[in-house]
Amino acid sequence: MARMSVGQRIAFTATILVPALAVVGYFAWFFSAPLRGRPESQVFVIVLLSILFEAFPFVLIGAFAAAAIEVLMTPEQVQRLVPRNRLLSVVMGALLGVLFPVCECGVIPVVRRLIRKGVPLPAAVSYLLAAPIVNPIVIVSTIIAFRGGSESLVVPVLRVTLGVGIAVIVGLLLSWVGHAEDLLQAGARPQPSPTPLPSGEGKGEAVADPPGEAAATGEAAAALPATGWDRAEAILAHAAVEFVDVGRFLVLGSVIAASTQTFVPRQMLLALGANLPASILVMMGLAFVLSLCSEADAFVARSFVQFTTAAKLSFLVLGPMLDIKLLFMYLSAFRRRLILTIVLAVVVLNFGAGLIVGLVLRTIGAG
Amino acid sequence: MCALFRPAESPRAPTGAHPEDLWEETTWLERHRGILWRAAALALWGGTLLWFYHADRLILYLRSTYHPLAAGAGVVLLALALVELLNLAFRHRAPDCCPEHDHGDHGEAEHGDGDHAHSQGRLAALILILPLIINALVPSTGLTSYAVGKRATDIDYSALTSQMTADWEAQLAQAKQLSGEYPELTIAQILGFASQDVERARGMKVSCVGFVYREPGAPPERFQVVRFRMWCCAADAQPFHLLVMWPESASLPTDQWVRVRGVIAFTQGQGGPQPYLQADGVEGIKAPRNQYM
Repeated sequence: MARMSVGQRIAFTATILVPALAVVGYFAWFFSAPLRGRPESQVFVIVLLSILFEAFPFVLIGAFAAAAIEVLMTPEQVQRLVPRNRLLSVVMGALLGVLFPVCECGVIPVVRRLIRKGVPLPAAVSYLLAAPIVNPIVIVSTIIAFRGGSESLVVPVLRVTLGVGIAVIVGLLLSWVGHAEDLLQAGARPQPSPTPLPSGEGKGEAVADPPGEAAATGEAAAALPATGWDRAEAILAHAAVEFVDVGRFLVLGSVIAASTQTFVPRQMLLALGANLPASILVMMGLAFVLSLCSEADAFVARSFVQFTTAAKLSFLVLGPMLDIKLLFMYLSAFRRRLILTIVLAVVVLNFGAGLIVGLVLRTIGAG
Repeated sequence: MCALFRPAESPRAPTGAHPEDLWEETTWLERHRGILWRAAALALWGGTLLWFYHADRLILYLRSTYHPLAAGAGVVLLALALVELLNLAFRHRAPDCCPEHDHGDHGEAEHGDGDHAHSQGRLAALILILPLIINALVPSTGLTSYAVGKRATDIDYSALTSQMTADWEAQLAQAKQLSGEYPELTIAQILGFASQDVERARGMKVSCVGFVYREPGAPPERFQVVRFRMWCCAADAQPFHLLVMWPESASLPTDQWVRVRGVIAFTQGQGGPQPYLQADGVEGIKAPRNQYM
């Protein structure tokens, strides 16, 4: 092809693209006609868009947080924040969500970036699982949803306790899973570290150096953009990439979630939950299928009055850790083997915890 | 059109060829296609969010508390798209995938597998835009009886409704002032009042707005007036039902929005007295601006 200038090239592309789009658009409109006005498509489209409209602002916040971590902090600075002690680092990961509140959609980009900066996988995963539950906004909405009933205290307290507990156990379990690198997608793999890791004693309560200071100190900071303008530009560029990268998985997950909301009657699911173990499984399944935001799920859980407290808790603890949209979003950070491990661990632990809580509450007559 | 879906030629040289030669051969557009796609997806989403906010269409999907957040996200997404394009036009710098950009120490691991970055950018952008295309082709007007059927459960909402109507004297007084003989209440309020004080509620004149829903096999002289309660977004919306007795019920099409004027009455159900409305009049209305409670 003869050489064309950029302007010619754009004009050439546009002359092909615009009519092509018009033709494709016409055919798409023509072939989608039978779907228009059908009740199924109405529900599907509304649920799909509403999940995305609600999630995108939070994904965007997460993307900016991730971009800021990427641009402003060196791996050394991030790693210095993590205690060397395995248990301590996992517990810190689980409780970090109180200080850095994110919901389950926003947490994924942040976790990807933290792992890339060298945060150990177990600590990062326990942050991932617990953050949407210990988020103060989520705690408050849980309290509001359940206030004024017999469950007003037990549900919020146990939700946080079980959430943190399960996140910590899953984190510890992952400590035994071999090489982290082959469990991660490229976007979440740790960066090659230019300097060896500091091998001194762990400093659990270490605080991040201010970025300005960091940029001024030696070779570790050399990779980070130095001036304020460069930093802002880099953050914007990274945030855009991050948003698209995670957003596509959110879209795929939401498409599946909206489909199940459209076609699976809840009555059918709920009818399965006759005894305690079955009701816990059903509520876990429901949390997985509905893919609700952790800020809203407590209101929905409260309305399932025919279910035991334990079953509602399973709904509230599992949902923020695992649902259809999250499963897809995990794909942006983890490989399948790791996702399978996390899913199995979370499901088994949740079920076990639900059973124990159910039996205890029944024994003391509060179930 | 096939050019759109052809795998992108990677600007990274395959082994054997001199990188510089190949670089010369690829065009500006090919080199930057990934970024252009991404900018397009960001701009489309940003534009849609802002437009929906401006046209008051978010109300169909999101609780109004979240509208400013969605609009803010729209502004930020548009800004991100703009920054991407400005970068491309003036700095010739791409953050993710272009060989002329020095990656410093975070080269390979950056945003995906280098070589795939172009096609990935395009695929990711297409996936992101997919819901907008679906919405353009199959526009939606609201949750209907179909959704009620899928979401309805044998749930007793009194726990929620009584919570929402804690100060019901005040709410009732306000409604009376606004709408006279048949104070207009939400279905949740009526259910809440009725669950709190059966004797006070019995015989009370009220009106409410909802759409017509029929349970399979329901007798012709009754229908349910339904409205969804939305907590955050339409994914968590739950239907609240109120049974209406009206001799001319059969004339009402399912999903028709109606305003029901009537008197609260009770039947003896399994779980105690169940409220219903003995209708004095039912009028068809246009769907309200906010279809949820």
